[in-house]
Amino acid sequence: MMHGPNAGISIASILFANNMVFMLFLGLRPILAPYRHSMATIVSCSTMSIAILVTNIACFCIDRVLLIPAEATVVHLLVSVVVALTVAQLIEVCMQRWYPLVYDQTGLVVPLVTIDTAIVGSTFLICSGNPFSGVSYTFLGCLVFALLNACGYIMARVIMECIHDRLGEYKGSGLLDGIPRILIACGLVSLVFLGLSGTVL
Amino acid sequence: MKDLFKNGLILHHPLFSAGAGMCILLGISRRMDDAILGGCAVTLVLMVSSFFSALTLRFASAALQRTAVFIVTAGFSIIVLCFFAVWYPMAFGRIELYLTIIGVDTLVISTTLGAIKKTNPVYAAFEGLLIGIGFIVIAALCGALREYLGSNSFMGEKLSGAEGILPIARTVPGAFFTCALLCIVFRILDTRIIKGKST
Repeated sequence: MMHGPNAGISIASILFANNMVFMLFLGLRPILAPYRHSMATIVSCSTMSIAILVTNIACFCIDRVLLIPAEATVVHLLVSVVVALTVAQLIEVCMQRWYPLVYDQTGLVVPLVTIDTAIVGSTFLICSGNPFSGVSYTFLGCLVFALLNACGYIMARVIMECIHDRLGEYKGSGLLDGIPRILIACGLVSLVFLGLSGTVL
Repeated sequence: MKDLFKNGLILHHPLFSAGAGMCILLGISRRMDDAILGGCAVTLVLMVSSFFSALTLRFASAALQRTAVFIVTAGFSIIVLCFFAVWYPMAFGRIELYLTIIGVDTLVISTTLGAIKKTNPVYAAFEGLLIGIGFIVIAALCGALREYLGSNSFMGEKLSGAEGILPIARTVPGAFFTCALLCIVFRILDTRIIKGKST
């Protein structure tokens, strides 16, 4: 899937031109209603990235091994949800086992973030084939796509957290407080990403 | 009941108060007809999942309820997806990704989770219907605005030979800006209504 001079273009297109948050509107919930506690933000961001990676790979394997041969791709959504719930449970168990203090502080965050539009949306993109070329993915392609999706998500969260920090100091009109100003900030970042993809209006 | 109308319909809709359902709204609002169809899909899933959850899931243990809600909403979303794929294949092709994520969207999940606590399943379904109608109205407004400003068309039909006055409206950043604009307009309307009542 990604080799030679096209590799850089493919990576850039997944990270910027088709960034799942700013260009495909997936996983917007934690951005529009951010956590007040910085630990919760870190936990939610890392949990989500792990969940994107693991769920995408697991769903790809289930899709290729079970659903496509059985011609049952219609239940793909149900499979993604069940896999994401399992991943959430596993992450919770791991956190309880190895990071009990962090789990006590932010335990509720994990089940809330692991079923998100970003996870199910990206599994849909992977299982329905390469969105740029229309060719279906190989296992390696799926692995790279999932990894880049997770990186794209972390990048979007970091950008928006920085903007949140700066906007927190701003005392503006009540009409713009909350959702509208975050949407405008998202729109501006998305405009930058659109420019990077070379789109001319 | 009055609160239900006020909260379910536009002014205090969870879309603009908590950002729930924003992924779907932004994704389906490129054209007004897609926005209405997507809104109908959300409403169907909201209604049926709320009814089913209020009817059966309150008997499940607390630990199982959340998992059951996710599976139930995903199951109903698949039925709605199949329905739209058969009856509206063109629109389905344009917004398939966003119809797929209905079952895991915060708006649907939080409404369905809230429905578990309700004793009357019909009341829960009615609340789902109101939130869904609010979603359809907001999505249709957003779609109409983006379509008119971006490409000078309405429901996919060109209004005249001229191009849209604001081509950015049909792009991805335009979706964010249009939605922010609508949110501000609804806040102004809300403030006016409160002021009108107090005077």
